Parts: sequence; C-alpha cells; structure tokens
Amino acid sequence: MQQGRSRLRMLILSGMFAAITAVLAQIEIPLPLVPISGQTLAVGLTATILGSRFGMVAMLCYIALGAVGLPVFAEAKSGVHVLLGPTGGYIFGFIIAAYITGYILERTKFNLTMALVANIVGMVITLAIGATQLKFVLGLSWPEAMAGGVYPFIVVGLIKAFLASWIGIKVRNRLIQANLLENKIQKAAV
Amino acid sequence: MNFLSRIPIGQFIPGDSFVHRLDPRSKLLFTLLFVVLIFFADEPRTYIFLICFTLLSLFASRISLSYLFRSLKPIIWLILLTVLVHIFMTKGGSLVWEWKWFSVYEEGLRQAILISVRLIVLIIMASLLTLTTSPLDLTDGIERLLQPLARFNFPAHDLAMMMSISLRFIPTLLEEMDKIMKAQMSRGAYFDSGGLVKRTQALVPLLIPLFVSAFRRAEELALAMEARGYRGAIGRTKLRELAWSRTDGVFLVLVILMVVLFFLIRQW
Repeated sequence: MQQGRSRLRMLILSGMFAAITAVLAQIEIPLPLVPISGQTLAVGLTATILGSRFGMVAMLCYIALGAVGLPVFAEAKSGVHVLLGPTGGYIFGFIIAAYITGYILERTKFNLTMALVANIVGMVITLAIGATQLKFVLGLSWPEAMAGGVYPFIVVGLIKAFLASWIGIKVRNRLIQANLLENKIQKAAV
Repeated sequence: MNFLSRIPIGQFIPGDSFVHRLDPRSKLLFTLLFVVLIFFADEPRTYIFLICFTLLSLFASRISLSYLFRSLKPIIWLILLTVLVHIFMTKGGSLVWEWKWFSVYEEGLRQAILISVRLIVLIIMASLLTLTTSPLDLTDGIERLLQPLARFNFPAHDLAMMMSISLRFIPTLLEEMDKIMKAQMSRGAYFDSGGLVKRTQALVPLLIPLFVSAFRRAEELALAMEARGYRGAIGRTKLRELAWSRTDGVFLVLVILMVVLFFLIRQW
C-alpha cells in the first residue's frame, strides 16, 4: 500500500510539473526562427527534482496536453500541427532530455557540477532532436539545419542549463530538508 | 475530465461531419500514417495526389478555411525562409536565372515548391485532427494508443488522470505564484530590476514555495484518492467508451485505397 501511495503521489507530482512547465513556457525570449522559452528551464528543473522516469512522464503529460489542443506550448500554441511541424522536434526532445538528465543525476550525485553536466547533455539532446526534425520537415541539408536550429541557441542553452541546475539543486535540497522529498532515488516503479 | 468538456478550451470546432464522427484512434493513427506518406513523396505527381486527398478531407470535415489559416499563420515566415534557402542554396539542374552572384537553378526551384507544399499539407492535415476532435476524445485516443507501453511499466492508464490534474492546477499554480510574488515583494524582494544574476536569484524564493506547495498538494491529493479507493486502471469503467463504428470501417477502406494508390502513382 505504501508503495502504491508513493507511486500515485509521484504520478500526481508529474501532472503538477507538467502544469509548472506549461506556466513557465509562457515566459518567452523572442528569437527569430526557433523561439526559446522558459520551457527548457522547466524541463531541466523537472528532471532534476523528479528524476528520470517521472520527469519523462511529466514531459509526456505536458506534450499530450498540448496535443489535445490546450494552449500549453510556448506562445500559448497548441495542437498536433505544432508537434508535427518544423519546430516540433524541440518539444519531442524534452521527453528524452528529461529522462537522460534525470538518469545521469540518479547514477551519480545530485550536486551542482553533476546537475550542470546532466543539464548540458539534456540541452544537447533537445537541440539535436529539434534540428533533426527541422532538417527533415524543411528538407534542409545538415549544415543548414545546424546553422538555423543549433548554433544560435548554444549560448542561451548553456545559460539556461546553468540556471536549471543551480535552481534545481537548491530547490531539491530545500525539499529534502523539509522532508517532502526522499534523499535516495525514487525507487517506486512507474 | 468533465472540466474539459464544459469549457470551450482548445481548438476543437464542434460539428457532425464524416471526419468529426470518426473514432479518435483512427484519426490519430491516420495522421501519423499521412505524415510518413508525405516523406515518401518525392515526385510532383505524388504531391498532387496528396493535395487532392487533403482537399477531400477538408471538404469532408466542413471546417471553415479561416481556422486553417490561423494554424498556418505562425509558420508563414518559416516557409518563406525555407523557400529562399532552397532557391539560392540548392544547386543542380540547369541554370534558370543569374544576376551578379545570385544564381537560381532548376533543382532549387523544384525543392522550394515541393518543400513548401509539403509543409502546408502537413500542417493542414495535423490541424484538421485537433480541429475535428474534442480534447476529451483525443485524450481517450492517446491513452488507448499508449496502452501497449503499460507493459514497460509506463503509466498509460493514468495519463488522463495526470492530464486532468495538471489542467486543474494550472490556474491554482498561477494564483499561488502571484501570491508568493506579492508576499516576497512585501519582504523587500525585487523581481523586475537588476541584472541577469540578480533576477535569477530572485527566482529562487519564488520557486521554492511554489514547489513546496505543489508537493504538499500532491501528498494530500494522493491520500484523498487512496481513501476513495483509487487503484489506477484496475477495474476501471468508463462513462464514454470509444467504439468502432461503420464510419471507421468506411474510413479504413478509404485509407487503404489511398495508400495503395499512392504507391502505385509513385512507382508509375
């Protein structure tokens, strides 16, 4: 029963982090071609706090919310066409980025250095998946896709990876102090 | 989930057309299939076939064109940019036009036209899915289609529950954020001045109470749900069952015909 409760609690939390992602996604940094938003910051935070599996579940929940037509994506966009369109890969990438970021942290230590490494890896994955979809949907060559969908975002991405790991670790430590989060890795099966 | 059905949220345009009546699962699967087909199309004739099918679906859905323009509008610049990139960067074929260091080749023009047609068709078909299916039906459909993942311990059964929870908590979290912001400002915090570092530091006392309250709420909600006997998918019954209708049968035949025709045209 205890295990059932902690699983249910984590599922509810994943739902809430999907909501937090939706809220943070509305904070927008305007850039041409591929807009950057608080979305990526939220992905890093979710993965740092919830860990790999539930972080991934939270991102899936977020994407499903957007897919059914609720305005949760950046710029209050929604719909399947945003996901299947040229920039949809940057959203799909969150699923894998959250999983990998959480996974690296679970396998090592929840400290600032590892969080930074994990978040940078997550950012690279998001950009890679995003650029791949950009390339195929728009029929670009690889150098063109990289120039349009990766290079302009590296610096901003690094800043955001730093912010996500810094805030993420700080929040995580406070939550552990407040006895709201167990220090060990969440072992409950998803 | 009935919160979703009462408030006109999302992009759904109610109607009673052939496309509206289809099962959300068949529409979801069809959209994915169509996307794959779009990427198989490489000849103008296959594109013409896909355009015809898109027009047919538009006609069958009786959705006003203005709604489709709304989903096309955000990507118009992207389409234009891609067209320019292809016109000037893609070389091959005979030279069509040259002026100083600009040169346009046949292959570039061809690519530019095909890619923009591909994008427009893709966006129209994908938005048709969200326009003709209610969020409620789509959620059911997604949940059902993700079910095979349950074997890998993925909570496919709980997805709809999680989605309604996050939907229910978006307004609450916004309200709470506002409250925390005011509370911190009354203690002397500034959120809209200072450099990047200062502003980021200001985020920490904003996010921690927000997350703490999210954790508390999750704890309470889990307890309440357990007390009322929530056991996830075990023994769950549904008010609205998705059912395979005759419309879906007709649609399936149509889709198979379309795929066969597509590959025939492609080979020919």
